[in-house]
Amino acid sequence: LDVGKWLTFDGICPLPDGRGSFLWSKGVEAMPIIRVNAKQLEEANKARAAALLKNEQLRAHEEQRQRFVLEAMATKLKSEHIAADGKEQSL
Amino acid sequence: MSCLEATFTLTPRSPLYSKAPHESAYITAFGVDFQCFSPLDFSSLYATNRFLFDGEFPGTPGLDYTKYDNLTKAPALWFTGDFTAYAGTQKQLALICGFDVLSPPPAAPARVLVYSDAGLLSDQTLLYGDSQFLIEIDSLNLPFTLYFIHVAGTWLFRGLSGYVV
Repeated sequence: LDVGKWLTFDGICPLPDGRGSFLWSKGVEAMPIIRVNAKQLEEANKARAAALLKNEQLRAHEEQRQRFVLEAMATKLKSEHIAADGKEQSL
Repeated sequence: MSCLEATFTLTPRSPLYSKAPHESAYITAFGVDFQCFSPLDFSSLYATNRFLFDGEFPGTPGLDYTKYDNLTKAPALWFTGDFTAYAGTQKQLALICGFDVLSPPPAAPARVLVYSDAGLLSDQTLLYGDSQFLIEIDSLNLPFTLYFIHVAGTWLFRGLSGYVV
């Protein structure tokens, strides 16, 4: 992954939706890097599946978290659609 | 100045990115702190969009945080990403964690354990004056969760920016 050529900026990059990016103060040369490969991801996925199988508390927590996130996503998408519709109508 | 738009930027006040099914990311935080004085009071932290992890209340460095019982007792930030919509496209994710460390030396630097569900990925020292570290995720074929476990020093979490490249 060659990030050296594009992680060298130093400034806030405002995005249209107002979220913006960060003020990065360093280039990638000076930044600590943690690398996660496909095998590590696969092992993590297996470990999580195994933990969910054997731990009822974790499973309940995960289900609740997933439900909240899905609800939040649905609300966010709905409000974005309403905003987009409103914009179209005003045009 | 050149700018590359992040695919997403997750902060305490904007913790959820959801573009499409299997193209989403969010953060959740457990055990974050606030004090009664600026800039660590709740209002200041809200205004500056940061989470405080207080050095007086760290997790225990030596524990195995793949164990759920240990994980739920530690102050930590959890990142969950699902970019499987990109599966098979050779895309990768560059994830930048932005932070501030409160005090210069001789105060001890902050320390964060970066875990996956399978084990420790990195024991990361956060130095005063530094502001970021990078996590390269080589494959987007599976959804995944990363845990940033606070184990030393007082630091502020600013956010995570993700670049799908």
